[in-house]
Amino acid sequence: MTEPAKLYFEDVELGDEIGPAIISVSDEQVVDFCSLWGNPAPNRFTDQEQAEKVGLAEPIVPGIMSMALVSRVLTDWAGAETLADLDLVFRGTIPHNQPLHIGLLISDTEQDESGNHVQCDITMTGPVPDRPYIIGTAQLNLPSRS
Amino acid sequence: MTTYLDLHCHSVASDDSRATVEQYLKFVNVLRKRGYTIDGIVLTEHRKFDFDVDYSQLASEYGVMVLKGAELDTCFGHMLVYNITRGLAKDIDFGDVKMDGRELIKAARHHGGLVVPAHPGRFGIGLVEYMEQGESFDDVWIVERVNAGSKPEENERAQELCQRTGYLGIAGSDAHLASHIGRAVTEFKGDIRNEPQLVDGLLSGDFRPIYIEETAATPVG
Repeated sequence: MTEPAKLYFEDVELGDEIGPAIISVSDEQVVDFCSLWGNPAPNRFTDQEQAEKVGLAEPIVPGIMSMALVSRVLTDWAGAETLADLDLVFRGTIPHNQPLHIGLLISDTEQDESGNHVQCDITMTGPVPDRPYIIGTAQLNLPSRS
Repeated sequence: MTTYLDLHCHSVASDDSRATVEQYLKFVNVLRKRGYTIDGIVLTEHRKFDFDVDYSQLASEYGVMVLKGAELDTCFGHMLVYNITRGLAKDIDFGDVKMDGRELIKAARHHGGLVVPAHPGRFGIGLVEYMEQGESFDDVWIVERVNAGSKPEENERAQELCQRTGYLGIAGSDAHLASHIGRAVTEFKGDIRNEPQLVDGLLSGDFRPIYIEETAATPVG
């Protein structure tokens, strides 16, 4: 038996805001991610000295880990099978152990022969109003109720 | 007659934007449904200007004015340029990221355009930094006082600059995403329908920078 979809095209409307989801990335999580990724510690993502060598004030969250975190927020909301494209622009370094606010906003909806397409604008910021660490968009293909 | 324009935004023609012009226009109508007023947007693509692209059909379809300008990199920070003519494009290399900002300001006025320094309070790259280093800008009298993409303290620096110098201020969203369009707009006391009228409106000095919330006839939310 097929499970019902988490989210249908008819459930979203242009301008809808989702979140923000608030997460934090610990030092240990970055070390684990780097190990799985094949970039074992110490490196600029895990080690203060290595970070300073490349001009960073402190170790940062790897970009592909941030992409994974954003992907998870999207798929937790809409379902794993819906994410068709993720396009992020990194505008700042992302710190460990700080609240990261990931907000989604429906910026376009379109139905055509190829499916039911939804575009989400994405921002990742710190806890205070500031320039985002990340901006970007995601394309989701959602099922229709009809 | 009052005209509300977002004087600073980037479409996918800029390398770091992820919004199409049509998505911006759709979102302007979302803002209108929420009770806000916005008459149009001015596309200010990074380091380029396309004379051939025509948004009049889209503008008509969505009922939103679309004007064109540019945001150019200069040795004194980013500068917004309005009413770009072929003469200006012939005299200035828009892709030159080290161009002399003062020369750009003079050239734009010579060709009927106007230059407004963007996000002057931004740390590291704003006009304030250069003024603190002793540079002076006799031909500047309008700056982007509110940039919705800047940090609050950077907009405060821009406000302090205006208070200190008497500069007038405009506002723009600096949107790179569809949902960021219109967050800050410039309110003009007058009817503006094209780029030459925009320059006239700026030269008149009869405008003010505001956040979109201030355009609501009644408080929203």
